[in-house]
Amino acid sequence: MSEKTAQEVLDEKQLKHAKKGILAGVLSGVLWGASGTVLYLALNYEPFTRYDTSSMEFRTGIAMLVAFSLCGALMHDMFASIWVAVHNIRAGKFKEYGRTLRTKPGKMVCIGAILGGPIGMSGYLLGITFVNAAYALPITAAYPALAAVLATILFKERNPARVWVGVVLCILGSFLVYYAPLGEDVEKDVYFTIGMVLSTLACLGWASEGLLSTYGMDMIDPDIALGIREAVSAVAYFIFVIPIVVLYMSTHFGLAPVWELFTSATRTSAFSIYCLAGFLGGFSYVYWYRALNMTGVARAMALNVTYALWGVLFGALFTTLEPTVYLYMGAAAIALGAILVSANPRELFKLRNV
Amino acid sequence: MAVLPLRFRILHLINQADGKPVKANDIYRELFAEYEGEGQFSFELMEDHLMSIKAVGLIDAVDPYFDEFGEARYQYVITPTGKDRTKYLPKIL
Repeated sequence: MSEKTAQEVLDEKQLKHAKKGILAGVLSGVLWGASGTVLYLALNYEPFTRYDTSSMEFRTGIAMLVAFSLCGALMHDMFASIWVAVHNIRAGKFKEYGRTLRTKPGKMVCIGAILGGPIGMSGYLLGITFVNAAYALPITAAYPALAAVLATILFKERNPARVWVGVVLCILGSFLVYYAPLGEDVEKDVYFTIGMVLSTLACLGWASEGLLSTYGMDMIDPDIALGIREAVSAVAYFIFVIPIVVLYMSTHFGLAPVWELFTSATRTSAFSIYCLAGFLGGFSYVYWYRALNMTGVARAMALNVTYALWGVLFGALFTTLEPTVYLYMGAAAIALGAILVSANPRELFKLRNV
Repeated sequence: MAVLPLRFRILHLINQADGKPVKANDIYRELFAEYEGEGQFSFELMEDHLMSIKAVGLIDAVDPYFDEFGEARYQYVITPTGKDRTKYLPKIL
């Protein structure tokens, strides 16, 4: 048998690299679906179970749910930033944080972090709090479609027909999730509507983060970009979001109950659940950013958005939710639409060109 | 010279060659003095960076060769997109 040429050996190496990227993309979707379910489950633990929001006056109940969500979003991003920092320190990359922050793309990651964190994550956590994660996750998965629409409006980007078919599928899927008959355990009340609207806010935050992140992001080590993203987001929650929430709520309900909620959050079982959610969410992002770099944006995004389906599946397995066939169909339509927006299905598995 | 993030420095080095292919082994030798002792710096990890930078279209892999250890390697050239991205390199370079 003839010996392999250098080109053949390198082709094999590249194919292996791209396959690892595909696996990273799939893992990012599975872990994000799992993290959403864990975040939803955290609401069933102390200190959140101390407050029966359904028996409260409507405005008070809403305000408490908002406080729960933002408290959860802060803890998620704080834990995610710690887990990712530990991962980066172990990999000998700690010095890269400072070096990257001194560059322009590093600063763009910081701005993206504010859009994706306090806006995107808050909308996501608020969505999960008001409706089951299995309903919120598919709605947020439409973010590539929204990014395509924003890119057309803001940057006059021209998209092929495939992208618009994907956008329409995402819209139809969202309507299916919202309007279709719900399972017996989910009530289509005002909280459901608020949750769905807030999930759309997450979609908007992540779509604009995605648009900004493409700005020079491909020059940054994905693990470092993520470490900066999560840390900046957690700091932004501490400095801007939480003080505003505390100020607003303490003027309406007095400082004592609000202070009690935030301080007890660190001493109760929900704290360790958020630690787990931060681990799953943080590593979902690690694999997502790696997939972006190893296999290209289109494939990575297409694989990541499958979390819409994983979220429904985990919701069915680990929560009391009994998903209807309409929910599965809606989630599948959104995932398929997002895949069409992100990539040409014919090119999706042609790894030789990576 | 301030130490750049590793990926920036790899792109910077390939860009400095002005369109001539740069061997993976030469990139490693050149960067060794700057990043020596950092856990993130090894030949394998640097090759991962090169493959990732290639996957996002900033460099092209050309003219494969066997190095002195009998390992198959590529040489790398900057693409027009990569050249455009060098505007994000700090001005002090």
